[in-house]
Amino acid sequence: MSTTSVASEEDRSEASFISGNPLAYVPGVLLLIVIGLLGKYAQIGWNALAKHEHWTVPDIEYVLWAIVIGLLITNTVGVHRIFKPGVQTYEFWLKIGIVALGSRFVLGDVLKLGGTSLVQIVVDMAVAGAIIIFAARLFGLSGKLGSLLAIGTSICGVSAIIASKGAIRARNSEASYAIAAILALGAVALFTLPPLGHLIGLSDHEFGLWAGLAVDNTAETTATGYLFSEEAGKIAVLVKSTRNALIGFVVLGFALYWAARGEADQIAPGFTSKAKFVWEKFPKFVLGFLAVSAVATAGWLTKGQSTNLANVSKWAFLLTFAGVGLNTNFRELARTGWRPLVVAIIGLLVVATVSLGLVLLTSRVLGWGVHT
Amino acid sequence: MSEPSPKSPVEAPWYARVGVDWWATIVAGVITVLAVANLLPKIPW
Repeated sequence: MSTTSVASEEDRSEASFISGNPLAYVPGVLLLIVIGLLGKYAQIGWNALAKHEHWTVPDIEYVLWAIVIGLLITNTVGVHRIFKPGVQTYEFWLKIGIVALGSRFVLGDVLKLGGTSLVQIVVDMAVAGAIIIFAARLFGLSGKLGSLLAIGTSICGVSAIIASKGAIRARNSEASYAIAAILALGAVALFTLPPLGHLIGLSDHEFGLWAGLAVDNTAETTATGYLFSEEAGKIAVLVKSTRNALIGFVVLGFALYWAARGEADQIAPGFTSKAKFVWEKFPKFVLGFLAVSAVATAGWLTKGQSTNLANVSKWAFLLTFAGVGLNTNFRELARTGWRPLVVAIIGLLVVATVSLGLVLLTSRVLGWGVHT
Repeated sequence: MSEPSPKSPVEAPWYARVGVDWWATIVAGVITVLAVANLLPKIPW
């Protein structure tokens, strides 16, 4: 899920399908399509104009155009409520895009990159989580808000916070604060990491790893990766999906911690109940991604059909990026107060620095990496 | 991510209860099956 509007977490929990009437989704989905197409053709038009006028300007990617157009609309005229149900489906398109993107990965590379990034994720999570919990205490935030911020920053942004809220019995206000702070960071990362990556001279593979490790929400992670390059976007999606797959274990850990202190519901003893808990939190679209990757690895797709699936993925991501912009509302963010935001900014800086260090260490010193 | 189940006074529609993860997997899965069967029309970009 994403971005900076601060709706109640109940609204967000099933944010992709918020209406019982299928027709209610049509206007918003059409808006996503229009903004996506505007973004795509703005890139083409901008490049043609620059060429015609002999300007030396950077190539502004369709990803950025789509996000900025959406962002301008939502922060100026606003999004009418008739569009809301359809606009909220952007997470649905994101996941379709991720599953279809499986066709561009050989299963062996997925397992290899997933395995190596798992080590980086665990180190990143442990260091960042500990620092965020410490910073939360330093700024006088509640223990549970600190836990939510640590979970959101180290794992999977808003979805992880929502998944944890019930398990650790956090208050609505704590979840809303954590959501707002995490969402603000997604927007910050989106606009800062790609230029930083170019400045540092990261390769596509390195930047994809960095974005996958450092950016909290899957939609923003995907956008950040694709803003750098298509190859970086693919790697970012894979690493982030690995991160997402760990959500159940992390939430279980925090739930057990708070239950032991008598401040959350007890989880039934035994392996089966814990395995059930982890499965309930597991992001099932990761299984779809692996299945499509297996199909591609088995050679069941012609070259043309493989390209078709890759293009399905690009179209789905285009709608996602439009949705990211439309859901980034800075006015609502400003209402949430500065302290959770400061802790989250510390979290972003820590996660970005630690993950960049890990990426450079593993790729340039240890020589880890795969080619996709 | 997965489908958290908050307590809500209004019951979610059946397709929301299935969850966005499964729906995305089903839709992309159908598209992939069409691609394997070579029935997916050319998708331009």
